[in-house]
Amino acid sequence: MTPHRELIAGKLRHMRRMREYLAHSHGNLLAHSIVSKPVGSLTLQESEILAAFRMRFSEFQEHLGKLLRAIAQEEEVEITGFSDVLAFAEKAEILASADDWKKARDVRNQINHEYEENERVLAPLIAEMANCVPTLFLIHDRAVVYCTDRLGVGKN
Amino acid sequence: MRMNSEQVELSVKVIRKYFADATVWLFGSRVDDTRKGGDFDFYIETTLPDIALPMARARGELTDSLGMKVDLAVNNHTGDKPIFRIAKSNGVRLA
Repeated sequence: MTPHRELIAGKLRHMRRMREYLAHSHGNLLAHSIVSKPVGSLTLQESEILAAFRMRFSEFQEHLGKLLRAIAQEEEVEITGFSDVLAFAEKAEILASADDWKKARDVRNQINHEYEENERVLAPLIAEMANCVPTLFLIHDRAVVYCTDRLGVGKN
Repeated sequence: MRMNSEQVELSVKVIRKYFADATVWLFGSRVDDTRKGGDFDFYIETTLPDIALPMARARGELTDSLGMKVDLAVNNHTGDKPIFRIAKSNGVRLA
């Protein structure tokens, strides 16, 4: 296996772990009905659950982006910006639509920009972030299949 | 104002895609001709009741389109913030 494919294999192993973390945090978020509660009324424990979810969501998407970039590089895509990576991922059917990726990215960026007191803005962003988790997992699933089938990486 | 006519047209188009009735100002460092570089700060007035997701999407699309960091202050008249008054008094109205 080439060093770059070994690097991709390493990213896939890392992503598996990160996905477990995010799935756990997402489950906690839903189990405690945090999405439907006003942020200002959350207990300290609920705030921690929300903080963990936000962090794990951000990390998972960031690393998924790095995995997509590495796959594109392996396929010798000319990359001048991340839009080239998204265009490749769409063509490779890893992404159903680049817009799916951008929705999750935009919500993640916006939520990191808001003050906790801004309830009217924060609450819909948290709900949308929770809604984006299955989409990110689907993108991850498709990336894993692509790596296995097309690159012969990540079979174990 | 350090923003060319193409950037103005593009920005207003993107903002009105998400906030159809938007009135738009540019404020912050980009209205100061003596400075260089800097983010694009837009102040938007709208009657749209739910602004969270449109704000997230508009910010992302503007960042992609302009190739620079973009910040939005969106006033849908549900609460007053000092930044709204600062942006409106110091800003340049674009549309």
